[in-house]
Amino acid sequence: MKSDPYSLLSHSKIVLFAQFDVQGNCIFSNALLQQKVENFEKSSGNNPLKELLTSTSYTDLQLQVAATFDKPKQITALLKNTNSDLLIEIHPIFDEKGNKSGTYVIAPDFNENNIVQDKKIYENLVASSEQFNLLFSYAPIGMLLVKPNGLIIRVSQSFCQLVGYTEEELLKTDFQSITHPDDIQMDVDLLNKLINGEIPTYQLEKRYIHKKGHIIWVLLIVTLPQKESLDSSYVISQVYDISEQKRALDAITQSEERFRLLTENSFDSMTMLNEQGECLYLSPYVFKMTGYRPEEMLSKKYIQFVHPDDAPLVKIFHESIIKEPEKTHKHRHRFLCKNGEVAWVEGYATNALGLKGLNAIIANFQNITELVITTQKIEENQRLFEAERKKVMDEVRLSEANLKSVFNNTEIGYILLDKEGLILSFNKRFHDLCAPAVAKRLKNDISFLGLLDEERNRIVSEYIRRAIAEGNPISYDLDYQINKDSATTFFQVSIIPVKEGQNVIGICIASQDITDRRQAELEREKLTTDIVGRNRDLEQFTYILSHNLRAPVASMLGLTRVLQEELAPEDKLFFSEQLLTSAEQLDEVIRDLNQILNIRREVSEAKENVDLHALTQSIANDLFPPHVENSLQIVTNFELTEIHIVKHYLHSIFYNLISNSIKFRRLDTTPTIRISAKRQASKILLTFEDNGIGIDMKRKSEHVFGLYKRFHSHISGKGMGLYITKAHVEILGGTITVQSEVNKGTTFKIELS
Amino acid sequence: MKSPEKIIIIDDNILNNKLCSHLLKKYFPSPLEIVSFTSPEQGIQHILSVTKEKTVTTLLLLDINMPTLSGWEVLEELESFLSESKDSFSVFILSSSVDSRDHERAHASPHVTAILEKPLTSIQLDLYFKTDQHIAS
Repeated sequence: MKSDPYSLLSHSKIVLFAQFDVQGNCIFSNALLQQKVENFEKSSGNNPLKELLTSTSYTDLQLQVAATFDKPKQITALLKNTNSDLLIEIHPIFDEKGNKSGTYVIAPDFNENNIVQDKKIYENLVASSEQFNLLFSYAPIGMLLVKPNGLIIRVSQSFCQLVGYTEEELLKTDFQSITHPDDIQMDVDLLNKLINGEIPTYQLEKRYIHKKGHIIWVLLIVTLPQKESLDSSYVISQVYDISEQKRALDAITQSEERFRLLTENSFDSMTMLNEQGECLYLSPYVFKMTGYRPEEMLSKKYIQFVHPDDAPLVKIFHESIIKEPEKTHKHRHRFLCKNGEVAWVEGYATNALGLKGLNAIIANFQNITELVITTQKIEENQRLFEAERKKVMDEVRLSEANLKSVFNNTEIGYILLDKEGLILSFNKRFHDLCAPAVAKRLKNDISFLGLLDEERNRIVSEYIRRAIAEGNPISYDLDYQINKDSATTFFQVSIIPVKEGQNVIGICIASQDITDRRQAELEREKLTTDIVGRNRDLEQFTYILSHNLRAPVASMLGLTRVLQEELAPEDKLFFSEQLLTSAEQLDEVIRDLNQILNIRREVSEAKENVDLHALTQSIANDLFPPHVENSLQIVTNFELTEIHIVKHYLHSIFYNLISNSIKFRRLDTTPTIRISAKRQASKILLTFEDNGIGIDMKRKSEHVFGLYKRFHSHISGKGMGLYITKAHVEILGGTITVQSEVNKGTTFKIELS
Repeated sequence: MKSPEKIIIIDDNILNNKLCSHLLKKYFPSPLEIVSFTSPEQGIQHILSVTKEKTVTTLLLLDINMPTLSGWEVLEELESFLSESKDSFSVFILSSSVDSRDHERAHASPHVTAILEKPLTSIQLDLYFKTDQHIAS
């Protein structure tokens, strides 16, 4: 029913409303009507009027409803429970073709205990409420009913369209919420006055905020409802959309404003004086500038309004104009304005006293106050700048005095030598940076080079000689241990010839501790090398892997093509078997890939103490079961017998290296592997040395730990063992290196930190 | 290109050698001699000792990835031989995966006529040997 024109009646809180179809069946009743019937259920399809009225009255109503008629009519029905009358108005509904499509009925709300008996009052009520409702529904202007607190209790469709909200949304809110913030207070104030009876009505241009955010200008007219109306606790607002007018008006106002500014701000002025110097005519700007009214200035002496300091000048000027009528005179002076301010003007004056019809001295001028003030400001700034410059210069002189203290507190060590190499001066930092033996003997007026040991003396002398010869500073890096036990310190030393004109009069040596910087550099170099290496490994890994995945696939493709041909039975069998073999190879590569990718995943395992003897023994037992003759002699030399480490990785490393030694043993000698473990500084050193067939290091060194790299075609293997060993060593934070000689043996060294 | 009278295959994958032989026998007109090696060292030895005196048109099918010597290393070993016998001896690189680096290397080498991806097919050969007589086969 929302979009129905009878929507307002449907939601009416004061009028009972029901709608009937052409056949006279009740198809809708409003909530107010439904409330009148106890236990009324919508779903039952019951007609509340039927429950409410006596059966005779209802039958009568049905007849009336179903009849053909084109004007509203009224009937009096009898209420079932109270036996009192209810005035019902019956209205026909027409469709767009003008055919009757139904009826609706309205009746006044009644109270069971206090039924409205006076039909006359009621008739008026119905009439006015009906008119009111229709007015609302069809009003071309926006209309709304608002409570004193601003809550919207009823709203017309056109208002909904104006502000972009639905009726439902608006009925949940107040007018303040949709009003421009700047306009709320004014509206509320006026509304209060209206309600308090101070004013009978008010109108106001205000802004609403459309749901989409833009502003709508409206003319709002607010009135109290008529006295005889049903409810006096609300006001009626009529809303006219004036956005268009407002926009047009704004445009006009703006252009007017511009024009006004243009004329008022025209700084050109004109004056006409008589021979005595009295003002005959002054253009409007003169009044604006000086603040005097025309009657205060006209016929008065011009000089009266001139700044007193400039009065003598203007007097002379006036005289010279009179004396030399043929010339145009340039003038510049100040006015003293009415408010005491000063205005500078500049312009030209012409003597037109002899001219007929004019007979005046004509002067035009421009207000140059701004220009003068700006010029004064610039001059002031220049003066300040000069003062500032002087201050800075003073500070420089002061800072020269402070240089000495800087010299003694800098991070750089300095020593000054004269031409002969005698020490003139040195700072504390230089003293601290010297080796203790030198520092102890450091003092003025002795030879600096004489303090150095022979080797250092030779180096420094050479640099000094070069610096003097070239006349330019020379820098070099240097590292040494200040104390025997301390770590190496890195220095950057600069030898600077001190010159007077072209002559070198001495030497300054500056020495700077750059250990931190150098260490960071070394760190970065190492990191870069690591990353480059790792990246190369990855590239290699990808290349190898794609090849090894592709190889069995290529075979399978080739075999499948061959198998499609006519083949001899034995060929067919052979190729079929090969197809299976290739598929198995592919499967194996994929499994290997899985294993390799898993290496780096297993890092979370806990460390434990691993006994190296036990570890070696258990691997030997796995590799050569008791009933097989021992094919490899294992010699262990464990200075360190226990390592705290992730056992899984250490086992893998031992297993791979021992089994490699078996696989690549020499047949002409007793295969032997020597395994040693020892601690070196903070590191653990493991060595695996065998006497096997070895690897040709000249050709293969960069491939030893590569994936799928095999070096011996006659011995089976996938080329995975050493790749995985290296990966495991690296996960443990270690490095592995290999040395090997063909037919002598191979040694793997592992350093774990 | 002129059909070869002799084909030498060097590839550690014995299955590939068989597949190639099977295809080549059908593709080229007889008489055709095919020898294959799974050891690149033996292959080199054969080429240097046997083929040198002959002037028969020979095609070498050479794999890249082999455990002891790569295909590129084989070519280095054969460098002087290849320079001398340009007219009668041509080299096809055959590999299971060919990437851009291999392509660059093959193009840079004056001795490599083609670089082909396994498996070898008659379509690939058509690009180099297609003449009327082969369309029939």
